[in-house]
Amino acid sequence: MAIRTFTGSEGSIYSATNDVNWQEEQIAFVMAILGMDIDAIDTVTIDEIIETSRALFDVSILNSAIKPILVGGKVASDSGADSSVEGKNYRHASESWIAAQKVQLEEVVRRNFHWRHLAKGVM
Amino acid sequence: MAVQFGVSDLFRKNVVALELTKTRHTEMDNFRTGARADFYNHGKNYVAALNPDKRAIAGAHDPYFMMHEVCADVHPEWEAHIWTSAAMRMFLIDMANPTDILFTGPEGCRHTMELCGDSSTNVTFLNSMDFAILEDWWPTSPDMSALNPKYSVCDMEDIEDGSLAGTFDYIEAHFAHVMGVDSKISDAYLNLLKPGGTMVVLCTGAYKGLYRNQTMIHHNYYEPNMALLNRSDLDVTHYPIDPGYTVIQRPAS
Repeated sequence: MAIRTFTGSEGSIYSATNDVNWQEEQIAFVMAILGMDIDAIDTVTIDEIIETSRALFDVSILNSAIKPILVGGKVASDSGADSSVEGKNYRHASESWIAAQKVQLEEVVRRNFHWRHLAKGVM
Repeated sequence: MAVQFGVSDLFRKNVVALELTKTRHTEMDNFRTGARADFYNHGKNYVAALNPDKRAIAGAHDPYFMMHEVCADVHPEWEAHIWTSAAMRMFLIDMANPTDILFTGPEGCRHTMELCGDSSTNVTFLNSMDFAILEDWWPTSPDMSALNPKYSVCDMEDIEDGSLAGTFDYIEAHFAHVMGVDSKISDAYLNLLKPGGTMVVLCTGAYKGLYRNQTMIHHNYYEPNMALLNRSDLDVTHYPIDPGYTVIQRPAS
């Protein structure tokens, strides 16, 4: 790679090829983190990547085993046995942290996938 | 038809800011009649022609990727929100008066193109879709062409491999370009600064999301921000205004 300079007559100095190469490296990085086959990078869809992420980091839905609830003026643990008095679902701190990592991976790979698609359109 | 948004006081305050602001760029670079309007219309058509797969950005929480579409047909409160951010960006650059600048997500406007036409300033862009749009746009504008812009472009690999370390005294980077799944990319950006140089990272507050989250340290922008903060050789200031700015300065020595 080298810096390219426009001084008035060079025409376009944007390189779609270099752009695609960088985006693919980043997409492959996330695929590897998710345990996906990076050889599939030419055919993988963003849906497959996101679904793999959601399966690996299964913390998308709030479904606590113990749900704090106020019963008769006293805090109790609703185990969900009585569906008429459901307590509050929450994420454990550790689940919340893992969820943040999942969101981060997905945010980054969505960007790279989007940029790669557009850059390929310029090639 | 204007794009419809849910609005809040956070946006309305920018309407006041817009009404009470006057700079030499106010008329030339406003969204409705100036160079920016022309740029965003051009960008909207450019991106549409590439047939974007919107499944990739289905999260829709990142306005950056809808910027050209939104700004080409802008809601007044959104216009004020973007303008306020843009005015701050221009102000910070003018204050720093840099010689060697790197932009990752340049906006097509008179301010940017004047920098490119200024022989005392070396402007470098990141090889990105934002640059592709800018490069496709300015030759279509007689006003911008008359500025005789000159500039360079570098690839992300140039940034990551360290070959540009210590090159720039001003970097304006969008967090979307700086943030990766680890701190390797952000470290590479920080290494680009000359002693005494300044880097402004835009949208480090996740478009306010970082400030609203019940438990901030569990927001996914927390660790990337910490990657900026953890460098002991730099001064890092996070401004929690609008989408969030982080201003990073490398001491002169």
